[in-house]
Amino acid sequence: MSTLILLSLLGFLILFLGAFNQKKLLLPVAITGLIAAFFTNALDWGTNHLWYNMMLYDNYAVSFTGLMIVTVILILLIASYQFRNEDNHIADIYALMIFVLTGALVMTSYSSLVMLFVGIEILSIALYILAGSRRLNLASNEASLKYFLMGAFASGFLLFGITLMYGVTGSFDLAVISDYANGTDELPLIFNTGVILILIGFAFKIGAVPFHFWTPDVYQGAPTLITAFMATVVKTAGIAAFYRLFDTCFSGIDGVWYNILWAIAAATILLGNISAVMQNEAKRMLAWSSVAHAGYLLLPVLALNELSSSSIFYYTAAYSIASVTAFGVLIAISQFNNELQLDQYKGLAKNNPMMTLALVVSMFSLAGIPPLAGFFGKYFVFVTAMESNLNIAVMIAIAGSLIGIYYYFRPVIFAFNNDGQPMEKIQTSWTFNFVLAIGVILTLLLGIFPDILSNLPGN
Amino acid sequence: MITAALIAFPFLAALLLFLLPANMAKKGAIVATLLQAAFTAYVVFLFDINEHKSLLSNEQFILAENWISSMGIRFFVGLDGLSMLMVILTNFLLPFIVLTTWNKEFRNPRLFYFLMLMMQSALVGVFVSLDAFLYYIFWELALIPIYFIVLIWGGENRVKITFKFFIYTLLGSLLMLAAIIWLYLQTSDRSFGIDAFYALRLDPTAQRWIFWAFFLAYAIKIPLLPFHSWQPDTYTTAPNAGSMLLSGIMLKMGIYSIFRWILPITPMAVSSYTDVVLIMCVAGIIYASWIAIGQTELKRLFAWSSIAHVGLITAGIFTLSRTGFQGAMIQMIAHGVNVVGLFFVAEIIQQRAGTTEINRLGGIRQLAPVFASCFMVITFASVALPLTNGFIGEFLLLSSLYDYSYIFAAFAGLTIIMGAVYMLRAYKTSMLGENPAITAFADLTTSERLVLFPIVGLIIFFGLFPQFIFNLTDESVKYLLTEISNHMVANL
Repeated sequence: MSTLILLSLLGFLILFLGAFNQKKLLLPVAITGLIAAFFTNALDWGTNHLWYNMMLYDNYAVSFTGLMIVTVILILLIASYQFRNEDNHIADIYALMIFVLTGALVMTSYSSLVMLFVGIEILSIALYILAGSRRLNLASNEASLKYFLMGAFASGFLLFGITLMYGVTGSFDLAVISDYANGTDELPLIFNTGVILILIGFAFKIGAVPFHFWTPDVYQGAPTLITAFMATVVKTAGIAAFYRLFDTCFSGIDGVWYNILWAIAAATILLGNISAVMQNEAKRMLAWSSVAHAGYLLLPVLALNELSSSSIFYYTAAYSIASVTAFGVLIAISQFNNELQLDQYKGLAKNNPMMTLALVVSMFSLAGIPPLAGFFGKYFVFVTAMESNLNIAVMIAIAGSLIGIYYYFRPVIFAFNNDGQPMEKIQTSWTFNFVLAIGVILTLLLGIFPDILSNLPGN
Repeated sequence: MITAALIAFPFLAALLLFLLPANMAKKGAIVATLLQAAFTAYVVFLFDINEHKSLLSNEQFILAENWISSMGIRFFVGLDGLSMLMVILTNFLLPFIVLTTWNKEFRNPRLFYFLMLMMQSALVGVFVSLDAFLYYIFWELALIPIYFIVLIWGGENRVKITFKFFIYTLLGSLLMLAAIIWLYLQTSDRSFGIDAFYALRLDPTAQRWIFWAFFLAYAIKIPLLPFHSWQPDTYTTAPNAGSMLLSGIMLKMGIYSIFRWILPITPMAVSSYTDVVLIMCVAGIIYASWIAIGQTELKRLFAWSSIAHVGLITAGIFTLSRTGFQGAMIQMIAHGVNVVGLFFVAEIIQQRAGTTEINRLGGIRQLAPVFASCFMVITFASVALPLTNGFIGEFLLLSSLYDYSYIFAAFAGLTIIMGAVYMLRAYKTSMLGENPAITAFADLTTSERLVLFPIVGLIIFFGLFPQFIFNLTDESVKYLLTEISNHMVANL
């Protein structure tokens, strides 16, 4: 709870700093606040506080919140690099990012469907604004509008599902719903409909097929930094909330949703990977790849065994770090343009060895090449799935990973392409270099010693 | 500890290369590989050839440390005769392979030699791992350096070709990964240890699935007939040092892994699919030899001949006989040595004459007699002339096939005739006769002699005294055969 309060206050503080034009203070205050939030969050480890039957601060919530705070810190450091020459609205953007984080925190720790909905809305509304934060850019406006319309749809589905659930059980409390679901022999159709509607709402939020179609346009149109934000923090929060609900309430009634989710996962993996192959624009490619990753992340939800929460956590951690690094490189190369064709990576290797290393490590990690974190994440997900006999789904995931090699390797191949003029040395700031270094080190470290995180969030 | 040091040394040396100035990288790499070779010699000296009883007493210099304890993954390595043989092959060939690049200037040499040494480290890792997960990691790690070596320093069309190569091999590896995870979930104590895997007595259906998942990975890597299409292009476009690594050592990963992982875990599937695999192998031998006869470019010809040779090695293994196993062991070494020689010959010709099209060569023997003589010995070795290292292996392999079925032996025996056709023709056309276009062809320089003379020496030495290889691997072979027959009996 202290983390929640701290983050909300931090957001307001930053808004005020912006209002009083204290630009120099923005980044230090935001980073200090986030580090403080990380520690207050860590203090809740093992406490299992239940606040007013609304929020359950268990280890699951603590782990995911910690991961998201770290991701936001890394993204803010890149933001300070990207925005160093711009002077409008930085404070607003920082504050909105922190509000998104607040919503994400609620989404990972809810123990009532009301809080789930409130969390999703806090997160989403801030994101709609962020997606449109390049006010004069047409694509950014389009992204914002699309995201808003689709998000509103998803919220509608979710809310309808929650309503049905309340109608049947008379409560928003997860414990009550869980008791009802597991204790009733013949579930009423209206309850099952509720489960499916909630599932569809979540599928929208994490961009799973067939509810994914907003992702490429929104990812491409939004400012790159916000895209990185959506691909990491938002996706983590979405999948964490998804798993929390299904694990707590619906694990005993998998007959209702199992086949649907299986089909969604398989379709997401295949379509995400196949579509990513056809992209020539880096952000759009990463958008489709994030769809594919949502598919892999659905496998542990399907498996729903004692390894699931750890493998989801590990996977999102590996994926977030690699994505932040990959988007960081993208931002630097595109020189803050909102577009980057894949062939613009050409000749990167010659004069930018460190950035090339970051590109190779992040792309290989996303592709799942050992010994990087992404590989172990995939491996962990596969083990979790095979533990529950999802052998065919794993075969599909393997096919997806193979397709993934194609598009993740393209930027790398371009980077080592020496035909024509090599790219100039790109000027960067120390915060930016710091993020890339941290990204590379963590990706290697997590891949070689996965034990650091693989036991979180614990059972 | 010694085994871990064998893996760690090239890795650390690779990192240290970046501290050297760029023009020293080559020398640094030579020193590192020579030290590693000397270290390997010391390990061979310590290795007790006769020690043998059960799986883990058969392995020596064992190191088992917890690595990812929550998942039952250990850093579990050790050496038995078979691993020792492969480590010897890797670590003694690497100095030669590095030395073949003496006259070549690569752009960004530090990265090049860094990747070579990383590759060496990963290869040693594959050969000594006793934990399936660790083995998988090294298996994949070996792929990445060679991918970049071919991608950055390769010839024409390298992007497309490396891509096909990578996707193809990764397909196999991922299926193998799924099989490894499945086996892991079957073990009683959730372990990836080879002992736990060997102790599994899978039912025949499960064995079939596992067999194919593993075998596809190896069939692609080796490569066997329907999965070979990546190989000729990759060998041709790779820089010569890369082709040597690929064919001299890397494809041995597949053959070694059949011994280590397929035979003892899925023996029933192996014996029920023997004919299928033998048909793949024998068809591959004939097909590849046939294509090789039609090749006019040396590297491509050597690539196809390599497919024929490894087909025969694999066929020998699947006869499940002591002769076949021993023949495969000796032929792995022979093939490794010979193919490095052949690709180096192609490299020298390319540098001097500017082409490796055999029809545009000729008359070189008069200009460079020493070189031509070396090439002749290597040619003889690869057509398995008696007194060369190629003869004993090929003889044993064919005799094991004959014991299994004379029909297979008859078809596989064509390799000797067809091999003689394409190799001798290649030699004749490129070295003998006269060609007015080739007026100058300098004979071997010192660095080239330092590579080719030892290779010629090894060819003759192992042709005369193959006993060392038998002694080294005999206990492992016997152990494998008992393990397989125990398994079969238990399942009856």
